[in-house]
Amino acid sequence: MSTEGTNTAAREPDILGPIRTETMTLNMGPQHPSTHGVLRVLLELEGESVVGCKPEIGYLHTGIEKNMEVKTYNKALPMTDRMDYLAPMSNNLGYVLAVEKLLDMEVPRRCKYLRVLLAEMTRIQSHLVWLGTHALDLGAMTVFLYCFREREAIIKIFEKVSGVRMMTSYFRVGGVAREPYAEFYDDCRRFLDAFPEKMDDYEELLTDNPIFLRRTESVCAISAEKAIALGVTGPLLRASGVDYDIRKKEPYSGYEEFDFEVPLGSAGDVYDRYCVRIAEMRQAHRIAMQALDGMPEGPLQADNPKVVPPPKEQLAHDMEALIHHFKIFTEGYHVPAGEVYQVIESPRGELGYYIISDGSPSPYKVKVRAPSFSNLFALPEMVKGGMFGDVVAALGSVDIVLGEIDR
Amino acid sequence: MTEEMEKAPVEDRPEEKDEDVQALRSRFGVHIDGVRLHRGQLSVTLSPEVLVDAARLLRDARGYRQLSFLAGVDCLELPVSYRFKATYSLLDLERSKRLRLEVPCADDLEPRLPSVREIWPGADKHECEAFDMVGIVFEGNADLERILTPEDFEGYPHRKDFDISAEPVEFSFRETPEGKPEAVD
Repeated sequence: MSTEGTNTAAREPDILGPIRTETMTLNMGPQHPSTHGVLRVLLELEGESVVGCKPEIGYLHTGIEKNMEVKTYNKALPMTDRMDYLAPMSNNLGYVLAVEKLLDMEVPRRCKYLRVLLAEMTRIQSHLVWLGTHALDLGAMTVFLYCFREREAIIKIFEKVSGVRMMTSYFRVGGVAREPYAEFYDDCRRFLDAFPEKMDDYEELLTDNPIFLRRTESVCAISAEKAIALGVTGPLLRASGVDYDIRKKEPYSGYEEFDFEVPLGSAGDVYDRYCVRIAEMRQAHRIAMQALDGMPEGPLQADNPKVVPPPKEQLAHDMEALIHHFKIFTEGYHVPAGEVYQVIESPRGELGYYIISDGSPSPYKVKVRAPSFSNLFALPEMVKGGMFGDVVAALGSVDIVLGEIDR
Repeated sequence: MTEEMEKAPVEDRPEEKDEDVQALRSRFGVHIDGVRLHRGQLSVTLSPEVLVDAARLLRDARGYRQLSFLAGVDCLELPVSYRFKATYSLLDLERSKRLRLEVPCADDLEPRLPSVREIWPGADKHECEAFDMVGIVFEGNADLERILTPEDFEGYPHRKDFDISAEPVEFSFRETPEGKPEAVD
């Protein structure tokens, strides 16, 4: 892919010459559909080209990290869904893994597989929302309707398995909230079997579409060095050609047992980001299928009665179970003092939980390393020198969720 | 850390055998206040005077090209001698290795640290966040500003002594006229 057109201002001779005027500052957002939430982008324009860009965040700041400090570890879990509301299961996963690491605790293999299955379904549904809205930003309406149709199917499964459509809180420290419902595996299989065909449909609409190509190819590229220096992670970094996927490099939750590829781009432009995410959806499908086929037998919850609540049937006749149940839901469990930083590959990149425990039943400090936060602040690097109309394409390709940026 | 490990001589501990730790020790010696290995994760405590030099060494010679995040921490209720610290999490993409730097602030009342945004440009906004939430001033970062809270916000919400019990509610409603409005036919 050529880099032609990435830097219009630098490439073209100064045709404005003596008639150059002052630059204009334009406010994009905070109430603008293509900012995907409440984000304000201050743009400095010279004619149609962008000379400055400053994202302003904080409109959705709700103090989630502070709130978690006054809750027990279990009660803090539902707050994690609310950060990245498009990938609730990934956020749950990062948090429970961090607490399990603090507790130095292992979950059974079946639990790991179930988590991987649901985390990959989450990746698919999160990427579907990205694809739909990104295409919509660029003027393709049909893709949006298709994507939301498929997303709905996944959300329905989530609802049946966890009780809630989006704010699932299904993964718990030491296991999952409850045994999946009887037809869960059949429902997943039905969806996954039909999915590759649907993917072909989206690709048919976009991948070779000349209008889509003109809007995305060689647009708002970022080099690998700059992306690394700015802390960019996830599909955005891989579109620039950096082979770093946490599932491969620092495997967690049993990802080392799965066979999948890490799609890479080369130019780091909007089109490469599209290609990487599309390929990632196919890989997520592949991992989910493996998890489904290889789902091991055995227990689902870790054998640790101090942390994992006992089954409800036991409460009626087992005094010990009743005491544990009471302790877990009132005082909570004590977590050994220490600090951990647990990372996972969320659909948007490196999602990390930095938790400091002082030995009490509540976290002393939680810092969430939100992938969108660092990715968003690479936007000025992408759009500077480009055309104003490409800002929407660039912003869509970053795939931000303001909930996790502002927390 | 178990008691046995604490009793072991310093040079025999597994965390001291790490190449990056040895590189930091040989260059900065007394400024390294401690090395910890907890749950397989390595963290180095160092004094703020050498932060920028250590950061440069780690990026250029040791390959830590990415700063994952930077967090300000209020250690008021932790058993340490200082009040504030900043945690820097570094990533070496080639070796898939992570290292945490913990830098305590010398002054408990006016916490200050040198900025590392010259070394990792991505640190810029994380420094703004740590300033906004904990009140650590990063010297050398000219764009330091409140990023999540409004510009006129008072206090630092992530400090442990920040009052979270109540917040005055701001009402903005029209003044209601005296008495009942008269019925209109």
